[in-house]
Amino acid sequence: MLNNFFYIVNVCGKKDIPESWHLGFQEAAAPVMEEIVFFHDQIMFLLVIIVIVVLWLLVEALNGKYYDRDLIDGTLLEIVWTLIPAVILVFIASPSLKLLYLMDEVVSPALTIKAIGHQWYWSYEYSDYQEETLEFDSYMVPTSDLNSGDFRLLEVDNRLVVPINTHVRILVTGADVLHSFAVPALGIKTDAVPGRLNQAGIFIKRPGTFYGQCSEICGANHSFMPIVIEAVSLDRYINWMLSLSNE
Amino acid sequence: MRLWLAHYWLYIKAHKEMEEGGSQLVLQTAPFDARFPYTNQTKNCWQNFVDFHRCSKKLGEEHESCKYFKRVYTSLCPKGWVDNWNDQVEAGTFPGRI
Ligand SMILES: [Cu+2]
Repeated sequence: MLNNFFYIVNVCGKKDIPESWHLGFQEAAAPVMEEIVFFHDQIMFLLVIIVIVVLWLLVEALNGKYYDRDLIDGTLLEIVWTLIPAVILVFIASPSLKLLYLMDEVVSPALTIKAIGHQWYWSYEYSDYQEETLEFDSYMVPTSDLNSGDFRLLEVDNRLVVPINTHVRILVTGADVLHSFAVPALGIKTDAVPGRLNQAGIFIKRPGTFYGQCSEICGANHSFMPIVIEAVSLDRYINWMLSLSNE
Repeated sequence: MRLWLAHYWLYIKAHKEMEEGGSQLVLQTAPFDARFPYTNQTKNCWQNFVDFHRCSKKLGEEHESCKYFKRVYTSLCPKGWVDNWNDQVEAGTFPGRI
């Protein structure tokens, strides 16, 4: 019984990767994504009510029992069916705007990472530490080279390592054409525009491996330039950074 | 609100732990700049690069305030852009006023 329950939770549950027939969101790993999920649920609540009411009115109307052939206009009726949708729209628009401005916010970051889209791979730069800029390319692992347990078309050779519980500024740009840096579990999707730097803020709440894909059609291998973020504790991040700069 | 306060707390805690651990790495990056509050940070990078060169012309590259500009633009600008601009500065074809 309990096993069954966990099976169902596992199948329907949200994970950090996309999977076939995945209709919902991935599990949120950042506060912004949590807010997006809340907003989605809130709108779904209103949507279900509206769908049921409209369907009920349609069925009743087609049923043909309740009609009034002398009804030509009704001021009160018109006021009611104008005001109710207006109020519903306010309830959708105000949290939507709140969320929009929340996503724009980059809280005083401790670290800046640059993500540069190329045809067809991502390259990353860490240059907060005065010595040399740490930069590397991140290519997709071809299907023939995958190890068992790897995710096809999602794994990369060099992952982007990001500390958890830290405000991180991500600057996205393109080297050739438009790309888009998107990671669903973190709630970010930022256009990579050549000659322009776009800023996004992330704050990861738990360790994990988060997958994303280029989200702007950028040419033949657009589908084969995934993003992998490895979220680790601050200590591990620092050790990783020191080990790379000592090499 | 409570959500955000909780995150600040986690952030402060993580940084305290790091400081106590005597880390060799200082977590520090270009701070928020009220002149560039929007998503588009292109001008932020450019302005700090130009300011660095103006500053070093006046005070010398090693001056503390010039070092600050350099830190900020290296944090913000992609390396390719900086290399390109440096070549232009050397060749005297840099479009900004230095
Ligand atoms: Cu792309």
